[in-house]
Amino acid sequence: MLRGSSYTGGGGGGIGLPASGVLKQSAVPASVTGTVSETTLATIAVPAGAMGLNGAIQIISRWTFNNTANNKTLRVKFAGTDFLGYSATNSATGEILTIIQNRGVANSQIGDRLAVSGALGTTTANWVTSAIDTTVSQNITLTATLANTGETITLESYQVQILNP
Amino acid sequence: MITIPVVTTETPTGLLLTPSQPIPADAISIICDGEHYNVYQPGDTVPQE
Repeated sequence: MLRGSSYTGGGGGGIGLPASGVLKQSAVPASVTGTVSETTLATIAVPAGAMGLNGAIQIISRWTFNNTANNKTLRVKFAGTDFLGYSATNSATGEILTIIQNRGVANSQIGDRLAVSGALGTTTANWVTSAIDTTVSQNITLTATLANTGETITLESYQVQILNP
Repeated sequence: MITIPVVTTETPTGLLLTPSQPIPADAISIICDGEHYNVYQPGDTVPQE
């Protein structure tokens, strides 16, 4: 199959279109403890042009943290823009779906609601929008921030998929 | 286990810690303690939480 992009992972994508598929996934646990600074737990490079003009990135992340009232802030960023910024409290685990889509052009996106933990349904929160140039390589980063240095946040696993029509 | 120092960057929301070099592909567990990323590889004993 011909593909019009340097990205060659997975199937999908028609003639002249970028491919779809799993860009990267890992179940190697990555943790932070002992600091209240935001800490990068995973970095995934999205190759130039991997997202088509109507393409999307889908990120599933699974987290474990102390079940306390302290904030445990989980972030999913694309090119430095937060598409998730959720503070977990009084819970022990989280599985979060984050979707970022190009809006018919390579430099306009809509993504998930910043403080919503990936749940479908209605909310008062606004969508995150951005103007990231996806014709060049950009990074997805998953970060975690503790409020109490004695606690731990673990990124248990993640899957990053590129979805192109 | 190997240790990778953190790089601290100022961001609008505070400090951001990142590893100073890529995490090895054969890592089996990674723990950042605020100063280092402790990277466990096959054959290492991973500390229990």
